[in-house]
Amino acid sequence: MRERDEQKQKAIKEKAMQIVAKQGIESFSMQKLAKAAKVSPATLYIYFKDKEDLLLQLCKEAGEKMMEMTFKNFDPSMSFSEGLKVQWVNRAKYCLKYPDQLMFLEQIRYSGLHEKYMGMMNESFKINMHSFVHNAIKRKELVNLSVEVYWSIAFAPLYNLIKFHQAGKSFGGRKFVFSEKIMMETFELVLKALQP
Amino acid sequence: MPTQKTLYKALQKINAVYVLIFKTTIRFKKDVKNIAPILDAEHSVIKWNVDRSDVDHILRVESFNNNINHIIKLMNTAGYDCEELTD
Repeated sequence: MRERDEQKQKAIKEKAMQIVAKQGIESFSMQKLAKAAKVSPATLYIYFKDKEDLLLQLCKEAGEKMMEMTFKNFDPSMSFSEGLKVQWVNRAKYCLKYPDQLMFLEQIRYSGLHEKYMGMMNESFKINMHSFVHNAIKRKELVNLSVEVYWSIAFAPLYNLIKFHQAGKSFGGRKFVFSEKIMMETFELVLKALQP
Repeated sequence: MPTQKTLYKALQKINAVYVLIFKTTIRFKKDVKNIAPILDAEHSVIKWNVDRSDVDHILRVESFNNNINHIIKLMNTAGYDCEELTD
């Protein structure tokens, strides 16, 4: 009888996360993972039902961590500028601390698994964000926008800076390092764009 | 009385549930449909699934018994290659 080993399972998960983050979800396979994690394919199937089961477990863990960090010191009744600032700082911290998880979730976003992942996630994320935005619109601190436009202005600039940072460069090999100063500079412009 | 689910969890904890892994030729959805009634009818089989996304079309069976050869025989009779995948 093969024993389940928590440490081993953790190591396998970490390896899987890295592979998807670095090489994409399309080329990810249990065989590839087995080789990289130096275990037999049979061992992987002791811990996980199939490839989808493994990927969804990873989604759940990464998503929970992301949520936990995003909502630290955050309250949906905060003023818009204050709340968005807390979110920027928290999201930046998460991205810088867990770059593999960030890339992993990015891969999931555009894959067939995304809907299943969203279905698994805690509703509190949606509810929190929703009430934050609605409060802000009611108080006339935020223009009324579609969720896609809102997100593209409110958060995408931050994620883009982090992408440059993680690549170490931006255009034409121009060196780039993320900093609090750059973040706040961008944040002020984002705030300007979103205020009525 | 413990429910079947809690009993199963307890058994899994003490490793009393066997996880059997096979390399097979169960390639398509229709193949999975073919073998479903056979495995569902086995009293020792708790649950099973086929990872068709894998090159080895992995059949994974959770069972109360270590009945590897019996499962192989069942699959062979249904017309599929099936061999145990070992470490």
